[in-house]
Amino acid sequence: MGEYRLLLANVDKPGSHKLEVYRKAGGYERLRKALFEMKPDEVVEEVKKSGLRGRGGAGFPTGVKWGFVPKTDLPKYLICNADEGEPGTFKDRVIIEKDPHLLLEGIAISAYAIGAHEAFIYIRGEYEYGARILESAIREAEEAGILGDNALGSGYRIKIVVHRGAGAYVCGEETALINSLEGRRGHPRLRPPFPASKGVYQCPTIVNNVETLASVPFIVEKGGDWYASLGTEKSKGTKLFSISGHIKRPGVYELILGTPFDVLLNELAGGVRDGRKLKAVIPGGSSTPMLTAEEVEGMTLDYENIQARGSQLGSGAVIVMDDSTNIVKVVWRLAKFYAHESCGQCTPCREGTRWMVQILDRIVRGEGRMEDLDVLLDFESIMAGNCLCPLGDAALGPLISGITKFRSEFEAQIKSGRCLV
Amino acid sequence: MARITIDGIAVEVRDDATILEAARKAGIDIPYFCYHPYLKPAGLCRMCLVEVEGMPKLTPACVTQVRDGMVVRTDTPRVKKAREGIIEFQLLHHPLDCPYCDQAGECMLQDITYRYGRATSRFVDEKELFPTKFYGPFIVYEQSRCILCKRCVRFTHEYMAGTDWNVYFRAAHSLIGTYENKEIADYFTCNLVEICPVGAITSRLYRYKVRYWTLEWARGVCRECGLFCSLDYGIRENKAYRAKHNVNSPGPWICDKGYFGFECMNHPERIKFALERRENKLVNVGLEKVLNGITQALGRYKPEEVAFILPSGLSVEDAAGIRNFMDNFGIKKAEYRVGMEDYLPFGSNVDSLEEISEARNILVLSGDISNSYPVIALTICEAIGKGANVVLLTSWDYYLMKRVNNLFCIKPSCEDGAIYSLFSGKWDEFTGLSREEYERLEAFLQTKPMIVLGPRAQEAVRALIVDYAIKNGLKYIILDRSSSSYVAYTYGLFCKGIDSLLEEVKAGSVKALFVLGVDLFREVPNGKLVRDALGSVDFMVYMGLFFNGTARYADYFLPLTELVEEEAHFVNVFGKLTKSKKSLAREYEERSIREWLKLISEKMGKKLDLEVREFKPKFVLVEGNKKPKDIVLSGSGDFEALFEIPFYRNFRYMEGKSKLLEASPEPVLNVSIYDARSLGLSNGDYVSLDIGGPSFKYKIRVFDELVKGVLVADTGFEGFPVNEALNNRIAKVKIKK
Repeated sequence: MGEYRLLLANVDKPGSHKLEVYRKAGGYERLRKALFEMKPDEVVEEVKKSGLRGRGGAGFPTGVKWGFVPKTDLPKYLICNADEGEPGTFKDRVIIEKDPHLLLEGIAISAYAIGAHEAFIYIRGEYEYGARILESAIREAEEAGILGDNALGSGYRIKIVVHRGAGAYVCGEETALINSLEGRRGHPRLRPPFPASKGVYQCPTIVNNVETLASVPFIVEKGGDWYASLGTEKSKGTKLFSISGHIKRPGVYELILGTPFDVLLNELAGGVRDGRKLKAVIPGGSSTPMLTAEEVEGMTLDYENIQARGSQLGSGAVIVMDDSTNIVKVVWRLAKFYAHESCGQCTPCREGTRWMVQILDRIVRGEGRMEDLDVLLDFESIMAGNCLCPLGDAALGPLISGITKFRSEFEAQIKSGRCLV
Repeated sequence: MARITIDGIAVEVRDDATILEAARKAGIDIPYFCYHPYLKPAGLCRMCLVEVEGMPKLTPACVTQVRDGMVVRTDTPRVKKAREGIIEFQLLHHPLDCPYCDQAGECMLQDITYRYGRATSRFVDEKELFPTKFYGPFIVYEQSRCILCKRCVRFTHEYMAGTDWNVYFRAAHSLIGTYENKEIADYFTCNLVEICPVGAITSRLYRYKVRYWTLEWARGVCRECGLFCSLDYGIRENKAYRAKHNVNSPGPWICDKGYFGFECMNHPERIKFALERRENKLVNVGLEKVLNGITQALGRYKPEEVAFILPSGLSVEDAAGIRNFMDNFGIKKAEYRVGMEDYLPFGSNVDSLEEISEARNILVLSGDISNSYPVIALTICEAIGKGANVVLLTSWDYYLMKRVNNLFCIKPSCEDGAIYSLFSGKWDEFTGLSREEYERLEAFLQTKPMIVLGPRAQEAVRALIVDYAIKNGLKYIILDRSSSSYVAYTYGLFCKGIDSLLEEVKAGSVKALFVLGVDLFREVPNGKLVRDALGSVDFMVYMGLFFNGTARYADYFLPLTELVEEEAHFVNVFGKLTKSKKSLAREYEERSIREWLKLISEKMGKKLDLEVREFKPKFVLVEGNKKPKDIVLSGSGDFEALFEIPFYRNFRYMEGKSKLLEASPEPVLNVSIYDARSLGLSNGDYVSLDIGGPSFKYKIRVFDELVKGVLVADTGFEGFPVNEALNNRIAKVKIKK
């Protein structure tokens, strides 16, 4: 078991972002198939059959999400969430920069499936190069008649617009993203109503991750059953893993779900640095609880296995830490990130993230108190599930797991007043 | 209807009710900060979290709709823990200086902390404090105390159709404030104070004057406009310190005039003794001598030589008293239309503010509604917020012009003509509306909009609109300049108009005048006539609170009561009666109008019946079809100027409301962007306005929406006698830099 290149099949070809290269590899034939041979409902049905789950982090079944779109006369919108801001995540960037037409084809098929004529790509502000690539790819595709008023001559109108964010992590949350897209403050909205019924401009809207949408063409091409044959019982298909940290070959690797973690860490990424031992792993982006070296033993990379170990697959951003890492500082750094990125609307998240940083600041400075650890652990009962959007829970992920699993390290630092690693 | 159980208590509520509303019905207290009954729920503070059976997470009660059979618990350890946590979080960086915070006693954070919070905090780090910001004369914002519930921001968005007030920055450093303005005085600023659950936004009039719990509350009525909003006045030691709008009557919000306007009751310059003229001075000679003097003087005149000039905001009792007094002595002449209106009240067929806020299409005509009836303007903005299509055809309405969906701005002298041509179905190119604009307006009229007509329009226009509205089944509100027009008209307290009355005074056929609480120099646009008339009046009694330009001509000054110093009834624009109670004891000789008249009448040997048994407002009936009178512009020059009293000066007893006056410190001249460019003017420049003779210094405000060639100039300033150079509201003027 090694890499299985489905999404990444094209990325190494020279000029892979160009339309001609993409077409040579059979590009946009899947869109043709969908537009001419399939009804929208059939596409949704195939995606449901495939068992594809949202690749942005939450892992919600994509086909089910699409099924929530009400049958109304209101215009419908598809949004591709390319606001890849989770620390440690850089998988979407590969698709955006190296294979933009795959993404566009996925968006076009998905838009057709849900009945949308307009789709937006909300790309994070820092991905300036990616935004330029996407824009030129859209222009190419429109000039070739693939997108636009008459997509591939089918009479179906598909218009894709790139919208650049302004650098807020919370805008990766779908309702904040919608607010930002509408030109408002990037504040998450109350749910319900969910975007599928009232999203952009109060119209039905589907928000999907880049990787999710890029997987759709393969499902259309080879069928949902084929896609479902990959992976484990509840985790189907392939997934991009962006592995970083104290390893020899960081990067983006595509694996079939259910592949042992060992394959990713040691075979593909080359293992931890020489002479060092594995200490902890954050398996799915900074919001997911960290796992110790013992806990990742025998772990397979799929939704259910990681969940059973008390963490999540998340966005597939694996952060590896060896024994040179000071967990106190890791937790402190991540807390600072969340305190900076909280939108400030709801009390638990706004105040909790600020206080977290204040306490951890003190501990890092060497002025910590033993009671502080219990106060920090108590945050879970105040913040978990009580916030307006998932950001508050995300901030708890590294904090709670870091303190419970590496408590002795915190205690040592508080007692001695300095870092002992 | 849905049946739900909260803490074992079963209640039945509407299907669309929230858990919080159901809990209120069940009598169970759920604490909240960001929820407000008249704002859209936001679910921000997370204080109202409750446990719902079958839901894994705690649920915010303010946004969650009930389901039939729902079981809610608010008394579980989980809820208690969450509440304690949220309060602890709210208090982390809160200054906790309740002993000198102005909100203490009425602070929701304080109340909820005492009730649901823990006695101690685990917070040992440094509190982040922020500087206090003064946003103009009315409000102070203390960011350190702010709990970021966004009630104020939501109010400005949902009701004011947007104002420069929003959240800036992110996370714990979110800051509420303005973007480009140094001050915020936007007609409804006071609601920000009232809506703030903590001491973050406080009123500069009330700040640090008195403790909340020492106040007793007295039900009163604001008399500034025809809505007569119910207000509660906070009273301590026979002095009012604070106004508050507690009841939803007629609407949930009030304007700054009502909130800060009670100040005149406590003003140090208020006169509380009856005065008599001795040579050049008004002096206190004792009540008895004053009454004797007045009765003796009145005895010298024939009834037709006596006339009354009445204020706006007249109570039913006062009007009845004046009527009876006039009948007692055969006096025929009285006039309430001091703004030189030529019309009498036509009334409306709208019953409440809700009807306006629920309307889908509203056609607002003429002006200046936001100035004369601010809460109606606010309700129109609320309708805009709810998605209504509001079209405004006017020459000047400072507040609404910036907020409506469609604006048709014309010259002031064309206003009546344009409205007349629209409703008579004949396009007239001289009205300043292009053919296309006219057709768009006509098409909008086909959607059967609600019509709101402002006080500037003439009688002929009013009659035509009422006629049209009744024939076509439209809703209409015809607003008068005087807020007491219904009462005054019903009691017949009008004659041929203020100008003809003043002409009579000038000519000497009216020799004695009773001027009741009106500063004629300020209110009557034809100031020259006022000066001539008052100069030749033989005998004048002035009733009021303050000494002013008109009182200077008086032979006798009688002090009046105001607001909660007397019991009175008022009739609002919807024809509804509101009552103001007497809650303040009188200190010296101040009395209401009717009580003075009673004293005078009894002195002259005739009893005056003050009891009002029944009141039913009467309205004018539409007869015939008149053409609007042409407006003849005086003066000469390239510009057409409209002279209006600005919002923060347009109220009763201006002399005693210094807080409100601070928002309008100097006369402003509004210039259209085209003229500003061609003249090289920008905001804050000073120019002098030449009105055919004298010239006046004005500060420039560039107003984008105005039509080219139109200026809007403020009047009503002390020592700034613009009116005396005019004979109407509109004139031709020149600008000199």
